[in-house]
Amino acid sequence: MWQEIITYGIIVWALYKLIQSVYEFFFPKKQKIGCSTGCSKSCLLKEQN
Amino acid sequence: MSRTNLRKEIIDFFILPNSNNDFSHPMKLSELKTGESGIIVKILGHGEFRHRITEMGFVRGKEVFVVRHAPLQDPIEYKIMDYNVSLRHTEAELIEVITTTERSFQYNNQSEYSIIDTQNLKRHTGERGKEIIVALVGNPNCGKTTLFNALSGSREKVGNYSGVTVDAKQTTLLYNEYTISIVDLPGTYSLSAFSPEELFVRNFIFDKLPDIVLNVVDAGNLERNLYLTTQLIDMDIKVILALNMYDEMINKGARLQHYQLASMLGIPMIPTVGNKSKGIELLLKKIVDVFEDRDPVVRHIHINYGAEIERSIEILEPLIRENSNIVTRRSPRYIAIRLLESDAYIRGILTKASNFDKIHSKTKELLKIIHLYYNEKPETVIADARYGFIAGALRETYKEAPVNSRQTTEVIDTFLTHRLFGFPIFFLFMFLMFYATFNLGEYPMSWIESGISELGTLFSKLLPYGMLRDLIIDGIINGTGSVLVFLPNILILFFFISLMEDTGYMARAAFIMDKVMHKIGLHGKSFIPLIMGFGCNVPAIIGSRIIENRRDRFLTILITPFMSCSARLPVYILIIGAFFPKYPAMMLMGIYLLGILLAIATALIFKNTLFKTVEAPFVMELPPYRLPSIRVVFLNMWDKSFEYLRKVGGTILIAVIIIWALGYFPKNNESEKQLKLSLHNIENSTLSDLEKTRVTDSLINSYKLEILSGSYLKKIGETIEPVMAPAGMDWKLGISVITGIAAKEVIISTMSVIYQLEQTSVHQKLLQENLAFIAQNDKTGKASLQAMAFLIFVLIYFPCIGVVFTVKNETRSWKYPIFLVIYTTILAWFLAVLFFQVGSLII
Repeated sequence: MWQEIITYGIIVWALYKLIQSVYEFFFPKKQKIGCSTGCSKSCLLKEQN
Repeated sequence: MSRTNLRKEIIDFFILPNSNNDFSHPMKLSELKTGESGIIVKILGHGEFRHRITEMGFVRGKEVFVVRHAPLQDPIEYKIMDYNVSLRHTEAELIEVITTTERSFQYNNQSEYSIIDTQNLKRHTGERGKEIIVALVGNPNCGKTTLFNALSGSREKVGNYSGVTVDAKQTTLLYNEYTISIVDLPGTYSLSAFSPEELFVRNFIFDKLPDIVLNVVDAGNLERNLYLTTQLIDMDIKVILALNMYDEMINKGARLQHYQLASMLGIPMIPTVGNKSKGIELLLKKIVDVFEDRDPVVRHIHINYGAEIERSIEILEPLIRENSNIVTRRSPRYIAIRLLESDAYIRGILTKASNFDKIHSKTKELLKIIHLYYNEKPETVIADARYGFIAGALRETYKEAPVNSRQTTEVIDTFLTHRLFGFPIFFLFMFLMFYATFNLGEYPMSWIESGISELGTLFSKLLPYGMLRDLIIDGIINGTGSVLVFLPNILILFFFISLMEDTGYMARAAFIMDKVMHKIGLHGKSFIPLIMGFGCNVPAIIGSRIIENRRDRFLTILITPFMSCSARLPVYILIIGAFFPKYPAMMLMGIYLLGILLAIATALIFKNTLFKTVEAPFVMELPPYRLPSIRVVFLNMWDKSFEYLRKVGGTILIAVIIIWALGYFPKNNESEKQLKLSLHNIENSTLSDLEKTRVTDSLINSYKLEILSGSYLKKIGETIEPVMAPAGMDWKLGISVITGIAAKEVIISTMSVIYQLEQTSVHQKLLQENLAFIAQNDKTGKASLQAMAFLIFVLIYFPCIGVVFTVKNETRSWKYPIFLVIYTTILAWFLAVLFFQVGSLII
């Protein structure tokens, strides 16, 4: 029984990673907008949000 | 996220070529709203603007208050030092400020909107004023990236050929109390904006306004390298010159009075040896000194371009100066010179000028006069004057080496690029590479194999029979292990590619192949990304940026996936090892050659249909041969191993778990119950231990075979089998090539999981043994045909997802990757079917 619980857990984890990869393929993470010479208020606000 | 990481992420994002986004977004004075105030941390801008604004009290640490915006939002009235002043929006953009709110964000120990005392704020202003942005510019192959790595401790890719750096890279380091951000830009011979790289570097300097430009020059090739320096001099920016590979120059017997040359040019110079990290400390110290305006050498000089050109510059300069929004970022003298050099990009910028028509007509008039006066195009006159200036400066400071410094290189080239020996040597090198990849790789491969086998045995002893044991042994250990065993082969391949890159042989290979490439309608430079494609297609496609001509570049991108990448190598080794063990190196080379031939055929077809174009000239530097740095070669190999292991632990691990599950479900509860009962009975029987193991294994394997035959995996495989059957591929191979779309190594993992589940043998076997067993027991001869058709299909079909994305990024269109996917898959299927069917008829 314990073997089955762990196995199903691993399979669910793998499926989650697969779905995550597919999602990121179609909706890639947007890069954050910021600054070159230090962190300004605007970029930190964006980062915070 | 740490501040440095954030900055890196941000800069990495912004410095992508042709990005429409702005590079930096620090708090600018222009961003403050009416009623807000900020403290000045840095004045950017240029020349007169900078002088004037500083004189008016806009200096670091001063508080500025926004009084009001004009009705149309521009200009803006500010209060500083108890007087009011108006600045245009474009001018206020060049002043960086910090506000109390920002300060509270950066030091989050305090509450978000807490009030910060002025003392603290001013101290922080001082800290922000100690952040230096340094742009690394220089000719291709002058060692910029090596110096960049030495400065930052990074491990960016270096090589002894032009165009290794195709993207800008950024790193940040701390030096004393200064934070120095260094941006490594692609190599360019000039800043004339002829190529995308030149335009990119020039725009970076003008738009991002780095505090210092670090001009890296090859000390052994000063005359050509200093041409770029003369353009930087015209730009009137802060420049430091790194005389890189200084040791090579000294060893050749040349001498340079660099202090004298530095004071002549008004540019501080530091001798450096990037690959030995020499001169780095001095360079960093110099960066700080120049940034703080305390280096006595720094001064702005004017290169004299001759009477008529200088007179023309004098006429144009005041007209350009009338446009303060343009000259705040660019020197008016530089703009005037570029106009006389017929720079279309600069002319485009000037179209925004209020007096553009006047500037334009005056420029045309002056160009005609110069042409008549010199009987030469003005750009030629200016280039001549630049080289004249360099020659003059070097005559007084530089003593050439007594012997021909490239003698060794020339002797080596006599053989390597010889009309008759050139090609045989090249093919011998290629054969050696494949031979070593296959044969040398076998030893460490067998060690890893036995390690994996031992691990499987260990788990079978530790865990009682059950679902988890099946997943771990049949799925995870077999699936990932089957890919892991090929790590040594891949490292050997990368070792050879590294040797080609670091010694300078890569450029020679391109040189000898130019004529062949030309015949198939490609450029000699295309050969470099194609060879790089043997390692991985993704960097190879990015590397095709060294090809200036757009159509040549796109064509190279489209044929690069035919180059067998290292991910396909394990499939070849596996199949060749099992089915063609007599001539493995020849077979391996053959499959690579087939890829090359298909690339040639594709290039020929495309060149005469989709990419009809005028051929670009072959201008490529042949760098002197250099002994490769063992450290760089091994670091490169270490990086590749790490990348490979990460792939095994990531994509491949996930894939094998899912494939195993698809092959294991739906479960047959009745059979499982029966199996467990039988196993229980055997355990309690009077049989010997050996006998127990034999019967147990046999029962388990029969059960696995039963569930596989009813599994989801088999159902999917059988659905696609009719499509793959004409190529001799059964459902197992069909499933494997489909899963290989994510990454080609997954083909092996899938096969390994399926064959393991299907295994009826008593002993646990690795995939290689399973396939070899099939090959040995094949009486019809069709197994070899099947194997070969499978190899052909894997070589050609669908490039991996990473390649598809890279092609999209490089071509900035989905059209090309979609076309590539369809074209390669249809071609793969057609050729595999052709081979199998014709072969079957002969057999």
